[in-house]
Amino acid sequence: MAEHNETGALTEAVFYILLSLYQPCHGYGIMQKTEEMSRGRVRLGPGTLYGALNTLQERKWIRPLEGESGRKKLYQITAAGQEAVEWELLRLEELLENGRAVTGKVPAKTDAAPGAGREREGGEP
Amino acid sequence: MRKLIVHPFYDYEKEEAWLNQKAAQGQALVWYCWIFYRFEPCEPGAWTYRLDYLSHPVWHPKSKEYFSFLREMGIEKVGGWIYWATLRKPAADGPFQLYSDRDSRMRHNLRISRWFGLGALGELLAFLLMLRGILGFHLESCPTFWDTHIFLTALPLLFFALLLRLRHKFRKRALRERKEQQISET
Repeated sequence: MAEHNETGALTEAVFYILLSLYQPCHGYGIMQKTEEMSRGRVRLGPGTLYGALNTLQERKWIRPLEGESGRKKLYQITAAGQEAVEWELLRLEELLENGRAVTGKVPAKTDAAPGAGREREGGEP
Repeated sequence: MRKLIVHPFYDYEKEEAWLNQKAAQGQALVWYCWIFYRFEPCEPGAWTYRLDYLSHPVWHPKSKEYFSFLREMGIEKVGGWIYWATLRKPAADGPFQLYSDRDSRMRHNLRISRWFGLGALGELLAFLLMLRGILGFHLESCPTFWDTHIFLTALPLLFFALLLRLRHKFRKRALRERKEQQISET
């Protein structure tokens, strides 16, 4: 699974997986948290999630937690993974800032997923 | 009542569509290997089936780890053959898509195209070996010999063409996903 595109950005799926693992969580829980945080927009396929978890473990951005045998396997983000998220937040802030500066548009805050909300002129949030 | 059906498939998407059609008709696949399928009666539409081409053979520890992971999601492996696994999930649990982004879909399609590429290579080798055999007897005039052996020699060539076509189909799909990845992830 790709974690970064050519510019070094995290993919959306990886970003949400890492956010989900700030608290120990199993695979199904990651899927649920991701769907909840993205308001239903990002739904991780189990094949995609499994590949991502393996790759993130190889990068040491997440680690499996020792648990009772027979119970669902838990994962948690590592310090390196948290650092990756923090860099990604800086990148996203830069994108948002430049986007607003160029377009002059500030999306209205709604409960709907991004793309469904209205846009209005001006710099007021 | 259990029913065993023998049905060879080359295109996994047609196989998947057939399994889901059977499930919609009240026949759930409960076991599969190669071209053999065992069905049991079920509530019509109770199951959704997906075929997955794995990175390791079905008997490999990493594949077993993957199946264990899938079980946590309520997904059951009902059968497998070499690198192919047949999975199912209760339809009541919602949509069932294994791969949700372009990168994982691209890798899946690439793996599948390699499978068909290897199969095509095998058929081509079989054809060349049989051709060598048939040409070795070209001085003999024996109509029956020629008819039977020409037919048998043509078979691997036909399968080679079929597998090559399938390889091209999935490779083209993988390359399309890769191209679209430059624009969006999903």
